[in-house]
Amino acid sequence: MIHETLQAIAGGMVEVVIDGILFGLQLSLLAVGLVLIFGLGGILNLAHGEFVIITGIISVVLISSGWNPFIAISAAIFLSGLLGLALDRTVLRPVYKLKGEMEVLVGLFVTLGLAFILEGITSYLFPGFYFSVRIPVETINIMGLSFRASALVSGLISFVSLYLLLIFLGRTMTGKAIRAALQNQTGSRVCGIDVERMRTLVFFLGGLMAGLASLAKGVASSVEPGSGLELTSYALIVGVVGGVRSVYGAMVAGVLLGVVNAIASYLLGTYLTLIILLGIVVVVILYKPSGLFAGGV
Amino acid sequence: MSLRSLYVPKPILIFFAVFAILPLISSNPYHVRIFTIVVLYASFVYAANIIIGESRQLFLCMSALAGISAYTSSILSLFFGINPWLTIPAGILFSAAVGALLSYVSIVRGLGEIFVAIVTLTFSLIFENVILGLRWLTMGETGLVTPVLWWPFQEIAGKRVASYYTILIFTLLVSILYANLVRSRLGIALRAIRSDRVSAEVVGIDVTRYNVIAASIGSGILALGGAFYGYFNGMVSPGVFSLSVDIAIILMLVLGGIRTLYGPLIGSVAIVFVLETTRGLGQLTLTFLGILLVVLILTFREGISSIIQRAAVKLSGQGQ
Amino acid sequence: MDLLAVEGLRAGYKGLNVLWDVDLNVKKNTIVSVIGSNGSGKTTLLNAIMGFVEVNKGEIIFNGNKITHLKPQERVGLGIAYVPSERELFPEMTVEDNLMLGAYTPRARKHLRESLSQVYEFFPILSERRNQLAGTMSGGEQQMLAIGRALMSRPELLILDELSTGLAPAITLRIYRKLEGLSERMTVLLAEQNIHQAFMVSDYIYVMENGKIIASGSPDELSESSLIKSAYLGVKG
Repeated sequence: MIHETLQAIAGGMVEVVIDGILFGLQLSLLAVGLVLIFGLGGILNLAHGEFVIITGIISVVLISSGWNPFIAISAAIFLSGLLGLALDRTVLRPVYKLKGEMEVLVGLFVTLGLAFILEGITSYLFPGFYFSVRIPVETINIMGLSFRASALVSGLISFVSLYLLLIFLGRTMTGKAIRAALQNQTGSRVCGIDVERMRTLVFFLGGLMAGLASLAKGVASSVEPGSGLELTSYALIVGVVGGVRSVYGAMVAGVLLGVVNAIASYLLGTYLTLIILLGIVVVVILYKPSGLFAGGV
Repeated sequence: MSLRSLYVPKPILIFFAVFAILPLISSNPYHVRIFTIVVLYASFVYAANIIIGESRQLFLCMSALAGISAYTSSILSLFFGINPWLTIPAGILFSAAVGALLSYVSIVRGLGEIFVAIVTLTFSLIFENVILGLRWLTMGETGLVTPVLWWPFQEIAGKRVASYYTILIFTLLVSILYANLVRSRLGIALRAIRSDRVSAEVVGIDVTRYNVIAASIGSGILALGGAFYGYFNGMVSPGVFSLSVDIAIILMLVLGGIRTLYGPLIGSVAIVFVLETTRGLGQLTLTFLGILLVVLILTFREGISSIIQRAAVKLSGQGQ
Repeated sequence: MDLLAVEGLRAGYKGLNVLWDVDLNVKKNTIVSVIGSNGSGKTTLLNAIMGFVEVNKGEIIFNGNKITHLKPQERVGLGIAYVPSERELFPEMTVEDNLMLGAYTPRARKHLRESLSQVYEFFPILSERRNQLAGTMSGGEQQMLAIGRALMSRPELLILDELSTGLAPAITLRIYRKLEGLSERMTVLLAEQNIHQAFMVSDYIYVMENGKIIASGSPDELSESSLIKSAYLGVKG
């Protein structure tokens, strides 16, 4: 009797853990753009979540004006990248002229202001709006376990996006140059790398990743105006746990937190889960400010 | 410090004299409410000026610290059925202890300003979630109706005006406290730490101690202001003490002039005025605040008060 | 013909000049050294040639073109390579990735494979360690990697700052021997505090003090000069 109960819990647990991994991949994708930009730009982009919202809004606007959904969403993701690029080239220009802590602080406030601007505009212009991509199949059964198809597809989108990012950073010359610029700016210049151009590129990539995160979230659940700062704080939590400058760290931390989130909400309910997640952040910052998985880019 | 050596700059008295006659000019309840909010926010901005300005600890949990005390005092009064004046000190102690703890831990762990910001931001989120989660105690999102606080002279002046004057005197005392703090041992130590932390440590200034003291004083001011806010408002809710209050405080500090005596007053008058006039914009108010923050931070970091001061120095210089 | 000419250069940090009217010429396929005590301005001079220091007056001419106000990365693209005294490697990348980034400029990228095998031939130790992280190597190996990375850009002019700092003399000597072999294909400008080594390998030497060139000449000429003898060679003149 007890044995069977335990087995049932364990069986449920496997599904919960896999669900957590899928959600965690989404978190990783959300955080990776934030981390890339902080690593090279020195800017903690608090407007990161707004990129996710804007990608969703553009997708829906384009689709409802008759575009093919696939093309519309791709265009929206690309535009999110361009928005990142624009951010780097315009409002952040004067911030880069400042030095050290001042640059970080002013950058923090500028992007916070930007988040407010975008959150206000999007909630004002698109009240009650949401971006959601429906998957025709409800559930998928694998080896006797059943999963929501939307969660699987969303996890897959996140995984592929992260994998492609890793290939780009690890194998191509431009990707290597970005990592070089993250590690040593003088060294990069000595190699002929234009660090400012790499920074612009990183902002584009960060925007692109936020756009892809919007798609992943749209498939799994939905994207709504007004939740930008909440998304940013999730990205921040993952980034801090993984090491704010480490792309690999963010990926691992996202999956880890996804699993913790799934298990905790399965056993304890959502309210305590959020407190646990926030508690983890505080503990990590206090005991290992460089992040649990820092090292490497 | 003896009372005789207390430094009370005259312009501050003039400022507060002007504030004191405002309800005599207009006793319109809406106006008095606005005056009260301006004065209350000014006290918050003085606290921010001590924590963020003087000791350079980027606390993004100022509204949470105010909220902790407001909730503590209200809940204790309701629970034991006692006069709120008796529970306000408990709220202040609790908030000041939390502020001191946040500061102590950040310094001991050697967190840079950016990590202090992240830790305190996370703390704000935790505060909000604890309030939402302890629904049986706090009434969650709907908010808790606060017990009735007796404001001095409310039988003569009426509740509204009486609460205004109480809060005005509180803010006056806070501004005088700030003026004296800057000139005290603590203020001088903080200035030394700001200009060169390592040298300050070398000459024997206890960086941890002074920063923690600054954070506790600031948190205590936020706590008393927060409790007044709760009782004045008639209810406390997570929305009343949300992160946007921190943003408003920071805007006021930057606009008025960080590390200045008059900046908090000028900043809170200006920002409350702007917020009230743009009230009709709905969600766009947020956009407006954002634009203000970006523009101020990029172009106007020294604040109105330093510009006025510089102009005054120039004028008096020419006069001689 | 001069590959590099520095004319009346005044440069420094935050508007304060460190260099005062410095003139310096480097002929093609020679090794030229700048010597001087700590703080004499050698590194500032090299940094100015690379574009890391703002120039307030004077010109820097490379291959007949004015490069005075180009960015560092643009100078690298023209064929100048720099090994700073701090080495400035990418510690969390492999040896091979570090080397490949040395060939980042378009003109070098075309010959990447060829350059890589040449560098590995030149410094066999780097070939053995190609998959090791740069940050985990010893000081001497890191210095070789920094030089190797500079060679990957196929420079016409190789600039080296304080090669011997922090290295055992035997290792420094070995690296210098290798550099001598390079000068048939390449021009080398180096700053050295260790003047014995500078005298050994250089074709021409500049002596700096307080941001000015106070003497110059071939090693033979300079070793005759009583000033140099007393001040730098420790010989009573």
